Amino acid sequence: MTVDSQNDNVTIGVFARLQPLLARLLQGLLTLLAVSLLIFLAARALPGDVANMILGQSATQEQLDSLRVQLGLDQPLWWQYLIWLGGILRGDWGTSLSNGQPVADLLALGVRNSATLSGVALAVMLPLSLLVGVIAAQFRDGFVDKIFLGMSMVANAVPDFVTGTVLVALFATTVLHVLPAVSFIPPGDSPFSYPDALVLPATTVIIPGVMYLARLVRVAVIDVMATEYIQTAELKGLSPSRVLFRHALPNAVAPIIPAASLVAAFTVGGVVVVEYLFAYPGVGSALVDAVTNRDLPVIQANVLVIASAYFIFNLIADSLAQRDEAAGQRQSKA
Amino acid sequence: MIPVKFSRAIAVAMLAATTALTTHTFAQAQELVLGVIGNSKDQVQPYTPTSSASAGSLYNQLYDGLTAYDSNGAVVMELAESMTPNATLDVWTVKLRPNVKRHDGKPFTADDVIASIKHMMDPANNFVVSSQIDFVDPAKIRKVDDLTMEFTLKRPFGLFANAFADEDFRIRAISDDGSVTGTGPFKLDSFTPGQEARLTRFDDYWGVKPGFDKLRIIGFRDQQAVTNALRGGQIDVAYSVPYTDVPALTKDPKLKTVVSGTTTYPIISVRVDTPPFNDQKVLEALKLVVDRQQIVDNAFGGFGAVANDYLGNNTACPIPSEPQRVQDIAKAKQLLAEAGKSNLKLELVTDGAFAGMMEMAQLYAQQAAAAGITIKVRRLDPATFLNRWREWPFLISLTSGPYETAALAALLPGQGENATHFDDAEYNDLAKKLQSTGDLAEQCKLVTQLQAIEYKRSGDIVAAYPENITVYRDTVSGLKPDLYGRTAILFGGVTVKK
Amino acid sequence: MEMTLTTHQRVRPRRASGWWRLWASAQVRWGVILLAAMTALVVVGPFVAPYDPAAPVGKPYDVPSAVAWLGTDNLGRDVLSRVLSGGVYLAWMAPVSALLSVVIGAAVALVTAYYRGWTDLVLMRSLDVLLAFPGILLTLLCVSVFGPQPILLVGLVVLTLMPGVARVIRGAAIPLLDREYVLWAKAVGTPGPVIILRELLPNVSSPLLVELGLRLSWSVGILSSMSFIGYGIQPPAADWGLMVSENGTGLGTQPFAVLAPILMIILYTIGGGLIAEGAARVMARTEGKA
Repeated sequence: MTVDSQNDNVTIGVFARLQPLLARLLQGLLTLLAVSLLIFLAARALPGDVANMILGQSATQEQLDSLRVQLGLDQPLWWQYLIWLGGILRGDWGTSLSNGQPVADLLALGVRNSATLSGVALAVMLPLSLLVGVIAAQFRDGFVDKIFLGMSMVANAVPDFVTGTVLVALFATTVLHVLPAVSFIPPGDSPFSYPDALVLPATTVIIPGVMYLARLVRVAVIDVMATEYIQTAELKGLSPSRVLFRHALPNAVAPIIPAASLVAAFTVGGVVVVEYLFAYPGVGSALVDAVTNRDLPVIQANVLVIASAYFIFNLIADSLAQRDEAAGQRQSKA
Repeated sequence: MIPVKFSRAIAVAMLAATTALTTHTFAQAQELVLGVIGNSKDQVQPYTPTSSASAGSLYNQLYDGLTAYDSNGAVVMELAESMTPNATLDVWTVKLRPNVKRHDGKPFTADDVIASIKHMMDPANNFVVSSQIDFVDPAKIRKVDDLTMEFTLKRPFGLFANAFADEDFRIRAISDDGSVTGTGPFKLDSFTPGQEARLTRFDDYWGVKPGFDKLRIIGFRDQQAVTNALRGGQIDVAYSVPYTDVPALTKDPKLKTVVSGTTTYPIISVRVDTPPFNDQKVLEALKLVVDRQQIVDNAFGGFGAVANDYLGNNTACPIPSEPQRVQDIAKAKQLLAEAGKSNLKLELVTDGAFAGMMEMAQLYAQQAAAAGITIKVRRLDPATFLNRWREWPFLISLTSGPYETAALAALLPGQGENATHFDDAEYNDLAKKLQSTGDLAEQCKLVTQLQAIEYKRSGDIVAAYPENITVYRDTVSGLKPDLYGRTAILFGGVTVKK
Repeated sequence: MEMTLTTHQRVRPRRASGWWRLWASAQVRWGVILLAAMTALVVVGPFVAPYDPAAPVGKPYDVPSAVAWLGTDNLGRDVLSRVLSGGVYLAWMAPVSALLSVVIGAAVALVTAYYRGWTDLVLMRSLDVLLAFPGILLTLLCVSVFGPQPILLVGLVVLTLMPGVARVIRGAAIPLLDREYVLWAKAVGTPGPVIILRELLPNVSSPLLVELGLRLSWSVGILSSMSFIGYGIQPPAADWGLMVSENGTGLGTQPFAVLAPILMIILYTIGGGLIAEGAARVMARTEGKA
């Protein structure tokens, strides 16, 4: 890329390094803005509103109208959006339309729980998929590889809610009773105080993640091992493990980083079904709930958090990929 | 010496530890954990229009009503000691139960009642069900003394005690610090809407106290989660479980069930002011295609009884003498042909929010197909469903509560819950009489007549009267059957042994 | 750089004999056979089903018997008949969604990778918006407004999967831009679209086919998840995904009502997976040997 390590002037070098990052940050902020606007419009386009949900079946039209005025839903759309945006810029997330609680409080709870679940899942998933992928590639076409490929095909075929349901039946309700079927974490407590409540939801996320990533690792390692560069290294007489870990693996990691970032983003934002299944009180559950209630400020806040997490993971992954690309180029020049 | 001393020290320490442990076990508060479907719209103050199970579970512990329905459906006095009308039924004198304490330690008085009713009736507070007590004039409630009030009504009303027995009209009080407080069997410790409420027994409660100290109400996302939590031992009592889960749950020797009648159940409704349903022949045909036994068996797992197209199976009054409708496809076809409506194509909408709704809709669609009626079932999310509430021509709706409130709210013109747009002169007339009589025998006669009209002409297809099933762990004892489905939330005399 | 250009004149894989090479792979053969068998089952199934899939034949969650070989479901309907009739939607919706996702995703990826600049920026950032936009809300929105029509569901799956495909393929295409044959083609003035089609596309075929296999599986997953949350195929239609969610509560009492449709879903996706997997290997081998 444009980064030139030979540059004598350190200050300019740092600036040149930072510039693309700043550009990406700006792009990211614009992306978030676009997402928030889209979500706002989408949520308003849904049939029914929070007044319907609060007042229920017995409400008369007058009561609905009066509540809409109280909640500010009668204001023009663009004005409502600007009010909300202005609040966010001042650090004010607003209050929930459905129960009057501060959105920031609800959000903090969900973010803490979801971050814990995703963090635990990723911490297990990433190294595990690297390990499984490398092993499968090493035993390419062998028994272990075939077993892995078969398993990965099945694991990818089964939707999350099926994996979750089967895990619940196996470990919580039907066969064994060793783990809780429902991950209830009291609002005041940390998820780490309930480690057993994390096991099943995390496993449900980890299984398909590992099976997807390990497959990519496997293909990448096989591809890299087949290149002239590695074959040359082998001809030079380097030990197989040195070839694998020093030369093949770093090159194999690059192509899977975008995929890993996707899985990470997916794990953060896409735990909706898993959270739903295990009644895990995270951002995903909160979003589903808020959409059902048409609770606009809560929907917006949760979406922003999910989108930001996605963006940050992508930024990290992209800069890693670019660094690796640059490193790879230097290495092949050498 | 030293070893002896040492071992003695150990022995003393161990003894102390054991004592501490035992004392601790004894002192440890017995907690009951109740699982319900959580609703994040819940609030602590009771005058919200949401009739969620989670809010109901909480309000039932924190607040009392002036009157209430007991487990058999009779109206009993709670915070009120007596309610006495004048001869014309338009002035009622309410005497309060003496020595009732509020959770903040203050005595409960007529001021609390008057303030509560004024808050309920204030249109600014959007308390939609207040239309059920629209006979009350909030400006004309006179405080006679701390325990006596005189209500001068807008019109004569005989069902005064019944109206206030409805769960929506529990009485709250405001503490000095502005917070909401109550008089119920439990005090609130903490509350997170839709997720959790923690409560402690209120030892100055005036009624039958619960036999355990702590109550935790956990809100789950769906029935499946409640069932799983019960099986996994995370909760002691499940507010309700899906009918189809019951066989699996009853296999577990640690789980017990209470089956009781209920006034809350789904019904099929059509708009009687809209074609093709405004044709009596079509309406009759739609009622004749129902295989009611199949709905009881397959939608409600056999927990229920065949119904006959009128609400209120649980009134203490004699049932109408109309014959039981049974499936008659040939007759239905004939009626449709006569109406010129063979090959009807309809869309049946539901939000599937209540157990049995989706199941009943599907079975009904299948049964109607035999008479050449094509019914497409469409499931909507609740807000979409509510947005066009009272507009849907063909829907699954829900009835809830005792006859005199539920049926009248659903069948009188202009009422919010009247999804069928039923407006029948004879029915309206009888309903007015029912509301303005204080005589129990007369009330019963009128209810039976009203039900007979429903059977003949209303837009409600009532296929089954399902039962309510409460499943709980064997560590809990004392839960009782309850006509209003409150088995899981009435804790008077209930004990927990863990 | 110039030196490597002359020494590594790389020959692209020939395409003429590609199909034979693919067929020679046992995995591809088995995949095709499995898919053909499943398709046959889906087509013939409704005609050989012993009962009307919507009609109750017993009590809810009856265990297998002579009347209902696989028992009954949550409404007392015959599980076997529902399994036989339940593949129609998935059988066409999943492949169409997967194919469209991969085709559109690859097109976006290659165009942005090759042209970079503003095209890249605008397209990739739009995809970011799409990816960051929670699928659940999109699904809820579209289904609430337009009703659960199969075409709409396919569109939603494509919107969900396509950005992912684009990112992965883009990741695979960018290193190719520094390859000698691309540089060579650029140097001799070959137009961009031709380079994309003739130089880039064939060389991302292996990740493309892996993606196709995976996305097929994911399409099945997403479509059945939509049914699971109530926004997919509507009851009383028999649909494998729907059956899993309808009968989830009966897993302890009558596991066949859940396991039978799960097995069908798995078999169906394994068919697609085998083809993609085998094809990817053949490609890798061909490229490696060339």
